[in-house]
Amino acid sequence: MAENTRKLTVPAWFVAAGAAIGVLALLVALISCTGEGFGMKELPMVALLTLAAVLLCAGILLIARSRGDNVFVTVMVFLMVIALAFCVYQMIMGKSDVFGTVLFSDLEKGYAPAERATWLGVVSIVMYMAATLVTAIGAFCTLSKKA
Amino acid sequence: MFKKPNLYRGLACVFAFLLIMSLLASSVLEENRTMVDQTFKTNSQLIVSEKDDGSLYTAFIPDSDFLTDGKLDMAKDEAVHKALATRIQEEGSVLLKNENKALPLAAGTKITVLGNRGYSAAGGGRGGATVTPVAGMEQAGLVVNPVVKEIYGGLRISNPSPGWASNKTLDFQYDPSETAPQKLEDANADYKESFKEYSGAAIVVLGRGNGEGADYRPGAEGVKEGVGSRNALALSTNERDLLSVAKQNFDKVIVLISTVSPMELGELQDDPEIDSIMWIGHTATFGAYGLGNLLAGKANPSGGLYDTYARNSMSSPAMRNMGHYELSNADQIVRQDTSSVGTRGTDPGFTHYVIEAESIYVGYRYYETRYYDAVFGQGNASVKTDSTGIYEDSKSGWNYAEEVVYSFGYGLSYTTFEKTIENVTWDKSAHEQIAHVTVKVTNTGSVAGKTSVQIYGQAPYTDYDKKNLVEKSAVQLLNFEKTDVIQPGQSVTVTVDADLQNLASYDEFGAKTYIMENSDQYYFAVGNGAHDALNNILAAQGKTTSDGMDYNGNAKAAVKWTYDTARNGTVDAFTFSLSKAGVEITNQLKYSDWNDYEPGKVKMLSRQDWAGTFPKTYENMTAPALMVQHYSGKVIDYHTKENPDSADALAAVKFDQKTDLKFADMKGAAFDDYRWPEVVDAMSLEETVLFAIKSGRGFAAIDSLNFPIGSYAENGPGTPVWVTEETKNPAPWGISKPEGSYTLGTFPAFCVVGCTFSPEIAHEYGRILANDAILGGKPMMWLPGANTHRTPYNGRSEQYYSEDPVLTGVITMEAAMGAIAKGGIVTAKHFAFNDQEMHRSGVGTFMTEQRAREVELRAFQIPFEASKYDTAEKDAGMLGVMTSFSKLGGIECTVNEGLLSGILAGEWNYNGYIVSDLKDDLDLMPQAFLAGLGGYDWRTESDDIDPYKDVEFFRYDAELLKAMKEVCHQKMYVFANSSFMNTVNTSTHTVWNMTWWRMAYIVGIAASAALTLIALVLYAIAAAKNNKKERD
Repeated sequence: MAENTRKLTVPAWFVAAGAAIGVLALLVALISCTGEGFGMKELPMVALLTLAAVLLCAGILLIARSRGDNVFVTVMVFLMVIALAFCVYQMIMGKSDVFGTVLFSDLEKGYAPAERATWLGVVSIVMYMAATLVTAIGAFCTLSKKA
Repeated sequence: MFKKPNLYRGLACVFAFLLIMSLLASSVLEENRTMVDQTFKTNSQLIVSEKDDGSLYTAFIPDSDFLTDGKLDMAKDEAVHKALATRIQEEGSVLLKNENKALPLAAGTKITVLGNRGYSAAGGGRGGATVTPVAGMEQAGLVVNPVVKEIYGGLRISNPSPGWASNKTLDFQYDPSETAPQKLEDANADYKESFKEYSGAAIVVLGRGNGEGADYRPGAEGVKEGVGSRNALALSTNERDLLSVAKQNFDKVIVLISTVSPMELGELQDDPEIDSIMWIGHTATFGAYGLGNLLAGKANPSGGLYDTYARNSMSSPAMRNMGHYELSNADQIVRQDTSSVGTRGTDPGFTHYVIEAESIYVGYRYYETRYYDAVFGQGNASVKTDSTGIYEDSKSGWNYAEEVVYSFGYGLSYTTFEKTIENVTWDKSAHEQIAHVTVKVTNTGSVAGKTSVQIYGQAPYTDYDKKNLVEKSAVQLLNFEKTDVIQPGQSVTVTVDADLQNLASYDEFGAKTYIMENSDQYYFAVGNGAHDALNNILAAQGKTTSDGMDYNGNAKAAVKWTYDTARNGTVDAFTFSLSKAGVEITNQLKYSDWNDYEPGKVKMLSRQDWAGTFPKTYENMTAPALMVQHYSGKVIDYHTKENPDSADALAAVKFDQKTDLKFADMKGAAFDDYRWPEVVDAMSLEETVLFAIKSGRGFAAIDSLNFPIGSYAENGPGTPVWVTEETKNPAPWGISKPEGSYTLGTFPAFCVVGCTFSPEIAHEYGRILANDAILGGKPMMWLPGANTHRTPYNGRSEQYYSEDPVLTGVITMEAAMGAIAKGGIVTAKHFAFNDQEMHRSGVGTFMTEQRAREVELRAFQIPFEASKYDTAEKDAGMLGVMTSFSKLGGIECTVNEGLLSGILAGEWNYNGYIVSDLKDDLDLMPQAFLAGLGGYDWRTESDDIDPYKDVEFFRYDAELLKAMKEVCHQKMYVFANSSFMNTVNTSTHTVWNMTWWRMAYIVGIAASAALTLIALVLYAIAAAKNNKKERD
């Protein structure tokens, strides 16, 4: 195992960190949707995309370790960035209603469940953006020490 | 580590991310383009008419008092609004006490104003300037103490309310935040020295805020610790201390009450050191000018109170059931979708309820009827019904004088008036249902002034009523008029038409319709408010103070009257069993009463035994199975894809039929115009469904009929609207403001308009709002609020006129008709039963049908029937109504067939636009259309009809499709008869305009897509080169 991981470069762990942050972002998103009436129809899609990002990440690390940083890794990194970016998209679209009422009106000012749904939503979106960014940074670098 | 292919790979990832963000921006911006346009002052879509056939801007044009040389003159516009607001405040402020003629003050009097609310204008507007009471006083020529003014100016005052700005959680506690005298002293230790020069009078301004979204919480638990009052509407320590400063330092103390939530004023009334009390409501924009005129004697008060002001704001029976009650089996209630705002709202209410066990006895109907029965010694009226000391102030036995401070309708003037009834005429041979009451009004004082002529009625409470559980108020307002200015010594006669419908009683359990009884014991009376009118009736019945009355009435101000048209027996269950539209009236509101689900579960308050039936608090109620089903939104069955209607039934509903008609051809068409079916059948399924659903600010287009997409509705007063100037077909009157925006005018709070008791002012109010609508290009106005005040604690009372349905109904009708005449689509709200803000998003309000009809619905019925204006030439009925978030009983108002189809569309013959409030009950959409709802307040402009995937969802139920087609008919009829037609002809269509933000996201999408592609291609080339190099 240790030998295997030594075959990966530090930026490869950026990609892994992107997936990990994505998972954490999903957990925050789930919590933000728990309040009665604060569900989000986009949530299953967000979960699916996050799962896809995690699987892609696993694939990236596996291939990078065993076969080096090749075109398959590139395709998967590209798709992983797209998956995480679409999570940002879905989260913002899904939360736009509650953002609108809490951040741009007095409609639910002071109402704790609404504010929790909003601010946890913001945190989740920021985390997905960070995940995308970290993964994209990784994409600039070689992910495997194997030639 | 950093190789060329990796660089391109990284760049491809970054550009892909930017591409997705650009797509996101496009979605967000386009879905909210009206708001975006408003914010950025852009025009992303234009309504363009290719042909100018001379019909544009001819349907409704602004009145001349807004224009100079045919163009909007903003100075004139402001003058019109200012004049009406000033007049509303002059005629709507209510003088409650005026000892030793403390008011008016002479011009130039040097005064000291104390209290936060003297220095900040309260309520009323979302935009435009606001004028503080002090500014109004100065404008009227009074000289305000500058030292005190400076102190308050430095305090950064805000007037808290229980509404949006407050915490909505259940532990919300109120603090009126009045500044303590010590703080004034801290700011300027010698401030009292200035009193010597400004000693003409101390004017203390006290009040309470009011707002949408939350209520005051009743009792001590609703007040912040240390405030020093027994509840949110009682005086606080700081307020009492401020009054003490005034009383200790001034010979003349005048208190202005700036509130719409009835405060407890008993101690002010009783205090001999307080000379005058004037209720001013919330003055908002310009109203303070009217207030200044009143204080300086340039105008004479003529308003009457909109609500009863009780000594203890907790004392009405409704207060026993107001607040937070959740069903004990709430976990059994499952709504299909709770993500729509209406069911989420500000605090989820769809598992909550409130039992309105007070029956019809709301406001003065309770206090006055119990007083009447106490005088007659009947119904255990004098027996104390509160042993806790929380609800009643009567010391021993129930005593009116200890319970009520100022009655509904009460108000003084700087002069005095004597009012006597000259005669009552009623042509029963003509089957007339109107009694004409002629009143002689004499100014017996020394100052000219106006006064309201309030006509009240009393129906006898008979054995039939007792047997059939019909409740009757001892006195009720039937109608009113306002006099012109009457000079001292002058008399005028005023005839007020009293609709006997308002005297009839709804007999829910016996005749199941409205009844009158053969009796010579009916009374008409005039009076200074409900209590005075009742005392006049008592005087006519031979009662005096020796019988327990608080003062002797004037028998000449009351008339005994006989009703004798019953065909059989003593009860006439026929005459009022037909509505003005000729439709049979019978029970429609099954399941409005908890007893409909569980007979005998709730005991309603009855005159038969005040003490024995006085409401208890209904807590921890368990919903029976049928109620759980209703609460869960299962009310009306409909066909779905899995269970479709018969093919023949579906095929019979036509779409996409050929026609040469365009929407513009229907300009001014009557509802039953023979061409409407052809127009509606020309629409596609998609057009029909989208046009039916989207009924809020964003309306869907009907391309086949050249009906343009757009945002046509606004909330009315105070709303700034962005006016399209860049259109190919600009309005000839133009917009003179360089930025092209126009703020709809603001006026004092609705209650102040109610207190004018002036149909003429209300009509003018509607006229000006409709002119605002024409100038702002928004034909649809979501106002006025026609709900009635159930308790003093409702946070939204500011938007509703009164506790009385006739005052509310007549003022609403006049305002609506003033607007309709100028093409305004007035949308009365909230139909119905918005009796509390707490859990308003779905709270079940349980009541008898008699209560529903005689109190809540009567306020809507009057404007909707609008018989005063219904002429052969024009159907003058209302054009719009907005439903409430509440349930009636266990059924949401949006899916209540009896309410929407039975009463509104049926009995009242209403053909207009019925919109839900704020996407309320989206999960019940098919049921709502089947029940009679006319669409949703849709806030965005995409074609997304979440939670329904697409229009195909609706194609499997023929009745549902017919209902949606009928909604299209109703909405087009409404638009065709409004100022909307100013901008539409047969060549009208919507054109997308390239705004900078639209350009920005298009460039963003194109650039990021191109760059992504380039980066990927470069990666492929670089990777190939690399591979080749490695192979070599």
